[in-house]
Amino acid sequence: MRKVLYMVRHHIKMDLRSNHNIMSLVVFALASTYTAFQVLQGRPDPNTWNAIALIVLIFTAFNSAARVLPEDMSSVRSYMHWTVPPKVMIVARTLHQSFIMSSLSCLLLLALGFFMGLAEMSNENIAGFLLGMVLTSVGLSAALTLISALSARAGAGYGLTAVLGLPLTIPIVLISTEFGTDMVSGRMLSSSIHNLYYLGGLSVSISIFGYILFPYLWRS
Amino acid sequence: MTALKYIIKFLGIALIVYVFAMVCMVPLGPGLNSISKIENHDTHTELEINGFATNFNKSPNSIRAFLVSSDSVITQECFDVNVIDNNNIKLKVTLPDTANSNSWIVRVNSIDNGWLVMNPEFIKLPKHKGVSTNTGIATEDLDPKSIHAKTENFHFPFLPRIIESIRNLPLHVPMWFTMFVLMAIAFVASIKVLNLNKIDTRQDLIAKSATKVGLLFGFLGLITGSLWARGAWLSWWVWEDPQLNGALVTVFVYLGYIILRKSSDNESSTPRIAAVYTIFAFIILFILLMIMPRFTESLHPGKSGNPAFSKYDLTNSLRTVFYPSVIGWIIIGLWMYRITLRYEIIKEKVQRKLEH
Repeated sequence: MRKVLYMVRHHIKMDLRSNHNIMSLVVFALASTYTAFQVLQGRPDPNTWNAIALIVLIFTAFNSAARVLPEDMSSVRSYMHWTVPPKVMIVARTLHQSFIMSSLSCLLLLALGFFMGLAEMSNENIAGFLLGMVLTSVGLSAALTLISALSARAGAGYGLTAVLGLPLTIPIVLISTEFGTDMVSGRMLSSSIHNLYYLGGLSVSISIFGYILFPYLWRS
Repeated sequence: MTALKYIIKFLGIALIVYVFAMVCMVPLGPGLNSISKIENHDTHTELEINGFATNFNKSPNSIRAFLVSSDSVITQECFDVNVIDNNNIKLKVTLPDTANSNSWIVRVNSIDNGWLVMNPEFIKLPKHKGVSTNTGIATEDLDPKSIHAKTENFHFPFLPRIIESIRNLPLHVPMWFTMFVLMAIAFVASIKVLNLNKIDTRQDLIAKSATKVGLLFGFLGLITGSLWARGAWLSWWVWEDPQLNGALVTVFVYLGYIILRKSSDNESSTPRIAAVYTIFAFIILFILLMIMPRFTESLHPGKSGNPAFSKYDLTNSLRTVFYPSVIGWIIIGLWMYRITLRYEIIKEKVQRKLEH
């Protein structure tokens, strides 16, 4: 556990040290929201709003997962291989990725609210939507961390992550779009809460499989 | 041992031939298709009913028709039943104004067709004052055994809207069963690859060839399903449907496997990477095809509750074709996989020879 926390802290430190990585994600999210705002000229209808929010979230997650982490480079990897157990590695990477994506989704919601309003949702719905976005980003992070490690090991880059990742993340996307539609159309949070349970369950099960499978990838 | 192999292969071919013959030759049973015309008169309502594969002309006097309200409170017998031709009858009915149902089940009985039932049609039929219900008919009288129960000859069941395309059932569903079996083989082989410390080429090739053949069956399942959808739902593909999209995504996931294998440049670690992906993909396949459809609404039979075909009410005639078809296709699939595996092993050997 202490090792995991140390690794997460290490990852964040690395991110802060070369902050163009994080900044590129922030700029990506803001720029796409702004572009949508420019095209739509003001306040879109709730479904469009929902679509924009989820599209930007998913593409940000893909961009974030496709970053080249230092331990994917062969020189650093052989060092890490002897110092960090693979299970610690995958947990730390998933946590770090989830943390970044969750904070980005909060930022994204702020940006959306600033540019395009909040689709006339009630406070409860906004909270629910944010919760849905955070859970979605956790699920996406869990799946994409494994996929990006896989494609890094295969020696292919961003393209392979996208090709392998998009179909695999479809279950998460389906549930979160359904939940998002419920929220923007003003349904009670309690009547749609089962979608949040499904999202949580999916994230947890994907993380567990990542935890089991990653050591085999790490070994060489 | 070799004799057994030949017997199994022969059995597979025989079953497939049998299935194709049955699918093409067995006739469809009689059924009621639709109410083709409604004419309102002061004293009664005239209905024209269109049947499928019926034989009304043979014994026109034996035909009796009933309208049953969908809550089965009221049963009204029709009078003046006229046969237009083999597939159409004309009948008159008066409905009491005490009836508050707007959906009626049409039941027609005759010696040559037995009981024919048309499920609730939401039709607004005019009601007439001062009409009493046929008190003479108890619901027990509508029991199939009581009036003319036809000794049935061998036929597929008539289902409204699906009609002739029911013949696709023994060709569409076994594709997915076979794909599941082959993907399970790939899954087990992948677990073996990961469990062994040294690189085991044979298990890797098993996973590779099983996935290849399974993918072929997945495509066949998509094609037969799409054709069936064209027949039954009048559309090649329904994009909102979770079950259909789940199937499509599953095929894409396994296409990703082929791409992953092709794009991996590190020869020694490819088996391990591919194995990790296969295990992950099989779990996703399970979620998409077995778990997700249970939670969502779908046009596909077995909507919300069961991904299979409980709605179909498989009749005995369909069973005699469906189960042999499943067994036959699985045998053919395994056979194809064995041949692919042998080909892959030889290819591997040749490559290794060329490198030395």
